Amino acid sequence: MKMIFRIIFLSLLFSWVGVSQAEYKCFYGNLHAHTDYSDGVSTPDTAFAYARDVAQIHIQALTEHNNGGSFGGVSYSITPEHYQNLRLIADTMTAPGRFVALAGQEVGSIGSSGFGHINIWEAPGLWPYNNTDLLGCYSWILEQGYPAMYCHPDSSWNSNFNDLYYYQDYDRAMDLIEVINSSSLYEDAYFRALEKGWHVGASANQDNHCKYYNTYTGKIDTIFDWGNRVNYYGNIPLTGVWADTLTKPAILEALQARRTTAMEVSPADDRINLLLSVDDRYQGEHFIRQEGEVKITIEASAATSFKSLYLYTNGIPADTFNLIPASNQTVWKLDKSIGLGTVYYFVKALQTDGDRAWTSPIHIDGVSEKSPVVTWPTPIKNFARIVFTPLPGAISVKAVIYDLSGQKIKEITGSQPDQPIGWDGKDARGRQVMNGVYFIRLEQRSATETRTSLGKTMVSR
Amino acid sequence: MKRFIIIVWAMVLAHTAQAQLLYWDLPTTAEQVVFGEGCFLQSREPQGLMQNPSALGFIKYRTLAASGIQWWQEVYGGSASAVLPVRRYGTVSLSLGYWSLGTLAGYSEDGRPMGTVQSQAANLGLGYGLVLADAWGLGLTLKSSRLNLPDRYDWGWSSDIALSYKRGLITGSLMVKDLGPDHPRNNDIRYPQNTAYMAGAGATYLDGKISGSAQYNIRKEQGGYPSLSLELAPLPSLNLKIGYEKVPELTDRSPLGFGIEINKLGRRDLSVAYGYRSYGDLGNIQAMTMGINF
Repeated sequence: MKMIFRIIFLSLLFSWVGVSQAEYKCFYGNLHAHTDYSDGVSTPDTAFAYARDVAQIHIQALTEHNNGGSFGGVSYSITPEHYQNLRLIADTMTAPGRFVALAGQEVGSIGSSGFGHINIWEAPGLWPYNNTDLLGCYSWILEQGYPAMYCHPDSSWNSNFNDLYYYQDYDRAMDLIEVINSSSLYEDAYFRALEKGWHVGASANQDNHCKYYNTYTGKIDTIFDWGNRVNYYGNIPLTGVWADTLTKPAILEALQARRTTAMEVSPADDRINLLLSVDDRYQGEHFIRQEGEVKITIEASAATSFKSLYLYTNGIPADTFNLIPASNQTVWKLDKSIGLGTVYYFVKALQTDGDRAWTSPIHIDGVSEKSPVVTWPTPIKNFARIVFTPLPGAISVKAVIYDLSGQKIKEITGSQPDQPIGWDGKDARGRQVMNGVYFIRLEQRSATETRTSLGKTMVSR
Repeated sequence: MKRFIIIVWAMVLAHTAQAQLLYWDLPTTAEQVVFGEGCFLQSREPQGLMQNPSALGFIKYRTLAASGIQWWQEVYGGSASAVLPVRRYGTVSLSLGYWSLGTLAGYSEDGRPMGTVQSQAANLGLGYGLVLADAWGLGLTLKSSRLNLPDRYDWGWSSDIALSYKRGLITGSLMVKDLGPDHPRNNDIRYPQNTAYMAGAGATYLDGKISGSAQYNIRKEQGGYPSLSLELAPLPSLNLKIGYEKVPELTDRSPLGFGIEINKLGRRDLSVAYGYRSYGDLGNIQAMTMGINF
């Protein structure tokens, strides 16, 4: 009897705040919703309060449409004044440790020349709308420095971000992609975005408007459902955000780090914890590692049992773990060998009731000890990543590029000590360098050591 | 006044140049390694494609020279020059240069190995020098370069013009280097030539036991910088060389170069020279040159 109570207790605990062996906890959120500040109903205060008190989720974002005015003769775009007001309300409604309210905008590039919809959270202002300028939008997001997400990414939304074409220069602009929302499944778009090169994490949201056409009365019914909207498949889409604390800065950091799990929840308290780690690095991370064996750990827990876990390697379900008998808590460990080049892993989980969950990917750039500094690609045409053998415990990394005469062409500081350094093939003044051979001096620093490595590459355009 | 020539130089920057690397501007000989661009004034021997053409006319004997250089990071270069005086019509030179830029592992964008890629550069230089009134040297060099890449090649050409005045043991020279059209000629992405303006004076004392020169160079990208050269001959067939040149943009390159030359060997006036310069963390460069006069 005690055992049964213990299981029930643990299940309830996991359904509220997911806890893993990791330093992070899973907080559940809905990152895509609207009020009458654009084309939804009611006020932001009401929406946040509903999500917090009724739906009992940890994070609610209101992402009002930013269409730069009207569309189809109806103006439902958020005004700059309303947006600033939304930011104030979100700050007021945020209670660290209990609830995080995010103010956002859904850039809605629409019409035949539009590119699709993108959510950006907590940016200080609205994007200066341009219906066709996808690259301008990416560029603006990069300048803002706040997380962003592809919304409902399929071709029904116009060019679908130029068919999710990968622009290396803007890779850091986009953090998440909706794998599922209230209307459709976008799993294919998630897979395709990763295949094309985007480093985006998985998200599942509800796109609440709280307006429903009543076929019996022919009128629009208002039904509040921020945070607990049941979608077309009979599930509640939620995004699990893995953060160390439930505060706005921690949640924004986790979103930008892509530490997320997209999930379908049914019933409402059957929230899923699904966490992927490779050598103690967590989903969403991107790092360089020497080729060889890696240890992969997948932790899964929920109220409903899991039927199967699938480990995807470079977009292909290469390993399957069938739980016999089905279990609502499991840890799946396996060893994999990585070679030269990029490999990414993510996990899809399937519960016995058919609900699904997807982790964000972990990207690993496998390098050889024999080539401490190289560029991908070689030769370089426009953009390359400088990859290197990481120094254990490194706290900073810097690449200095020289031409054959020994002239310093450019100095680039890495954003993370064990992540590739991007080089756009330009010198310090922003001019494309000439064709030829170039040298890279890489300086890595840890608390106790400074390591300098040399490499050579080639530019050929 | 007769013992000293004062060179006054006025330099006007022709146009906005762009940082670029041209393989004819890379040193291949021992003296180029030691003196840097100071070799234009200091050197009395053919120097591959880094040759002061106005000095050619003063060479009255046939010369052959060959050089090899070990660069850093598995890059190697070499050059061969021939100088032929044509009686009163002046002196002509032919220079060939070659650079092996090494073999690299090729990679795709996602890091998959894609075999190996190689690159080489080949240079050709034609020089002509003429002496007027036994003191004024005029010279022109035409040079071209071809850079081979895995899926294409780039080529371009350029020219150097120079004027020298030689009186006794004193020499002064003005030179405009790398004049020509945007480079490379066959690529959509072209760059203006990084034209250099050089002026300097050199002198020889004690029957050639001490010689030195001072030269000032201006390139748009690098700004101005001096080249100082000193050569000592403690023994009749032994020259010790030291050069100072601090190019602001070449931050890792040591301003000092060192070299040694053994010359006047045998009936054919054979010479062997060695030069060395450090590039800090990048490595060192060292070159050997063999020359023969006949």
